[in-house]
Amino acid sequence: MAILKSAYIGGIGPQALGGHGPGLVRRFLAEGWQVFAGYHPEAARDIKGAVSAGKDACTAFSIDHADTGAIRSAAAEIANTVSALDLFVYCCDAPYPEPLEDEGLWQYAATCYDHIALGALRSVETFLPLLDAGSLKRLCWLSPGNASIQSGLKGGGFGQNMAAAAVHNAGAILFNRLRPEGYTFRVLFDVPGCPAVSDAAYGYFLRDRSFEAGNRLHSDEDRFTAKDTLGREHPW
Amino acid sequence: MKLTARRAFVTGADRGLGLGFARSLLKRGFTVYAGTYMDHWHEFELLKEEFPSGLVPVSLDVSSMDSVRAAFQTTADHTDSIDLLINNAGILTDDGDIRQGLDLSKAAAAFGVNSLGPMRMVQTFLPLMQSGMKRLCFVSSEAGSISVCMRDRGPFTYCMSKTALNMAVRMTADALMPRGFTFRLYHPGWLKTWMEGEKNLRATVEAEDSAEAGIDYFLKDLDVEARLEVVDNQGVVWPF
Repeated sequence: MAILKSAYIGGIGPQALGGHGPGLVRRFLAEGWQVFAGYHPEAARDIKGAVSAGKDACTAFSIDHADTGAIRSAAAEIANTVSALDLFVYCCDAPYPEPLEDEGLWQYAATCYDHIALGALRSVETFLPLLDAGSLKRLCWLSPGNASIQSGLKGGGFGQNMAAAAVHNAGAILFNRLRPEGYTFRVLFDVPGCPAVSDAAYGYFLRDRSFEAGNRLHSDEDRFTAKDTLGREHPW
Repeated sequence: MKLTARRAFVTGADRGLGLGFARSLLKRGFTVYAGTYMDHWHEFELLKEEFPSGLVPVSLDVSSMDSVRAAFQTTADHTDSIDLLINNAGILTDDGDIRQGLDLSKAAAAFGVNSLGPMRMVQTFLPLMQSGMKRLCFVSSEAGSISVCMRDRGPFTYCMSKTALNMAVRMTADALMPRGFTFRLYHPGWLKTWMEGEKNLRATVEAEDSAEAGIDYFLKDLDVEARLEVVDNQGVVWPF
């Protein structure tokens, strides 16, 4: 199968903590994409299978997303392989398990914020030059639905929810900044009980929203929205 | 001797909005435990002279759990109960533009103060809030609203820290509302404060005016307490 396009999928956390990154990597590879995967060290075992399934089409990097230098190193290596990235996906996955004792809760929240919220921002900044040269110019987030402040879904940890909610605001600012340059945006909420997250994410991240039903008066691409795997829009 | 009048704790009470909250509460007869980060601020000293018995300075750095615990102990030495906890302390960041290069060096500090500081305070001060008003107040910002985000160049980390705060407050409310606690999230308007190092004269709202409106909102009982929302100094509700 010929390579169609290239994607960077970052922020990948362990599947045991609800991370869908490895599944998403497999899905993109199955569709013939060249995938560069940035994963938290704790997700190494999960990503290994996806990498071997993808053979030469998948390159995975163990990245400390709190370290700008580590992200830049991965970007430099990717730039040696491809001249452009078509799609950027960041998984708002927990980097490692939440501590059970109260004492460590706020430190864990700070770590989550550094890896998820700031990690996403660092990654967007670092990969922008490669994305500028790509054909899709699309930034996507796969985020826990529990991080919708308004919808009031119960569940999820303080740290991951705070960090993911913060990412959504960063996404809104980036939308205002980069949409005029032609970038498009997708946020998919992983809502508890909704199945087939990786398949839904793949479909939604690649779908053209410009002419979706109900958007005849304007392009739906000009709104920064969050949808779940069933296509329902959620409040922030 | 333990005090018996209504009592409030205000973080970041040195100056600006926090000082305004303290002054407004003192005028309404509250005893105010004023969490102060700085050793000296002229206006705070004047307020102490004006209300020598009602204003209790408490050294506080909300980014430090040790400091929050020490502040709790100081407060607990004075009183058995706090009616109102106002989480006001905050810092502003300027991280630049995504195209010009971001400076995220103050991002952790902003999260530590703006987002986690209030959570440390709530967690630590809960033992003093088992009776009385049981009201937890938080100074948020329109900057934390994703739905009406108008910015295209940040400051990313200030906005993100306020969104994270809103999320944390919602989760805290989920846990504490069933125990009788009530919550207020307040957007004070664009304030002429000192958060940028010097007084921001481009802003539109005097801190004292916003503080009065904020205290009105904090003290008022709402018809529906189960709904969490951000209300500004003019009574307008902001979406998350």
